[in-house]
Amino acid sequence: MTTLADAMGAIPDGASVAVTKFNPMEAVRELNRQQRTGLHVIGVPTAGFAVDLLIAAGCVGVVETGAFVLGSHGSARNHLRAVEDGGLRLIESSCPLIEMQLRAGAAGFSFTPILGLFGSDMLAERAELKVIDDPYDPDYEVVIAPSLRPDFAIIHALRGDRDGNVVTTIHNEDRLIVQAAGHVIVTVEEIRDDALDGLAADEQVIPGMYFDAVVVAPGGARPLACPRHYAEDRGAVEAYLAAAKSADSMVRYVEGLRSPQKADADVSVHA
Amino acid sequence: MSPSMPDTTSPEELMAVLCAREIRNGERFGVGVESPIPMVGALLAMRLSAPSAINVSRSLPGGPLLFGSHEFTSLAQRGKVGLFFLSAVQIDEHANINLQYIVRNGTKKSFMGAFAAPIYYSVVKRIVLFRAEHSPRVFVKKVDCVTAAGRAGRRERRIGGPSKIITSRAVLRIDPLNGAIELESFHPGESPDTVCEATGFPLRVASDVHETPALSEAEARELRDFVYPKLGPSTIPWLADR
Repeated sequence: MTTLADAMGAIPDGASVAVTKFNPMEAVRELNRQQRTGLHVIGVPTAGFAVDLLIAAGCVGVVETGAFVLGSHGSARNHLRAVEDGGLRLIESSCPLIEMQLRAGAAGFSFTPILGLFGSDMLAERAELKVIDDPYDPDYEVVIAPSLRPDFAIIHALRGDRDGNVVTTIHNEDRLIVQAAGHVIVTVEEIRDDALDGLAADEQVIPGMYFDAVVVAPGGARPLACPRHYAEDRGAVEAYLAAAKSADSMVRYVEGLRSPQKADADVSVHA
Repeated sequence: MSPSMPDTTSPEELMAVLCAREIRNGERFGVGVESPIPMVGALLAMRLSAPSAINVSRSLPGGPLLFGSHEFTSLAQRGKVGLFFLSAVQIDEHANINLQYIVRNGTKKSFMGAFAAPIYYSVVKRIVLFRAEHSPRVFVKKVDCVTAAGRAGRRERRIGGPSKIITSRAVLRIDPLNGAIELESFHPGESPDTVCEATGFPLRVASDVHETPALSEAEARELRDFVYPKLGPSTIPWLADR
């Protein structure tokens, strides 16, 4: 049996952690409650509310991502403030670059060729991105990048069965980070015996063998939307955006989330 | 839906129509997240001039069921995406674009980030840039940060590159070989002189420069009767203040 507290407790300070655009909000709130520090967070391919909240909670030392964007709510203020204050190291990446690095990691390669990037400051400034002669056609050069194998992937899923298989949408890179990471934690809205029956056209099954922990977390994407379960809670999102306007109000917001009344609602199963 | 169409077209609406005119029938194309101008253009094109164009990005409903954004990236990297719309904070005279940060008085101001630009800029066959603001602070001699380079390196394999720039004042054309930019057309109310003045680098004027053709009756009708009701007028910034 795994509780959310135990599952997230397995992530040590300083670990690298990948999340997708389907933000695992309750898992991230647990990292805030446990006051994890120094995480290397990889926003795949962009960073949204989950990463912004982790930054505000002081859990993050490094962020690697293609962009910071809070869905349709514009730019992420906590990230901007943390970068400007110099307390946060930002590895500026590009969406396809991160995805290719993860695909190489998922396939067990140590590096991958990358298309594009020539002439960019990103290529000039990131020492680990190298240019080599194309081994098969010396008329050309090729950019190479190290593979990405995050220590942990954290995803949120729509539903799961008792064997630990989960269903999520195909729209984000959840499967990719699951395949590339060393350890995987999934929070899931509900456990149902028929979870895998009658998949919708935009749903997929991720097999239970991938998961180190499956945690039942109803409302695990709140205040954001979870398809088939609930819409975005606009009021709660507005409250977040309002709090994020200043460092002081954000500190109060993050401290408010650490109060324990929410934590005992978690029921869990083991994968 | 709203409101009857006013007599005057807003600059963003004309830009959306210009985006639509760039989409070729039958090609695969993509629109980035939260980009209402090319999004409106895409729906208009699929209704009018390019009914069999395939929207392969997920910003519009009804596209193919691709697995995550990395499946789209693979398509693009194989040369199977004809057109992608990108915006930029700065664009310079060699068609280098900057989406990441600007430096003002020694202080760095960060924007959202590079997104897919450093890769898509050289693998998508035609990149159409759109930026409503056409001013010397957007069109600069040299970008503060090169997010993606306008021309290929000497030993670089490129599939495509930047093709057009659509602004609230004009349409600029980009030479695919060397990234050189010239004025293709100026919008109603502008002239080659006013556009060049608003550009922070010396802008060549094409020999066939002309006034941008205004919205056709069909374009105006499809926007009003189909595209705006479909997207919901409240999601379209230039309708909000009508």
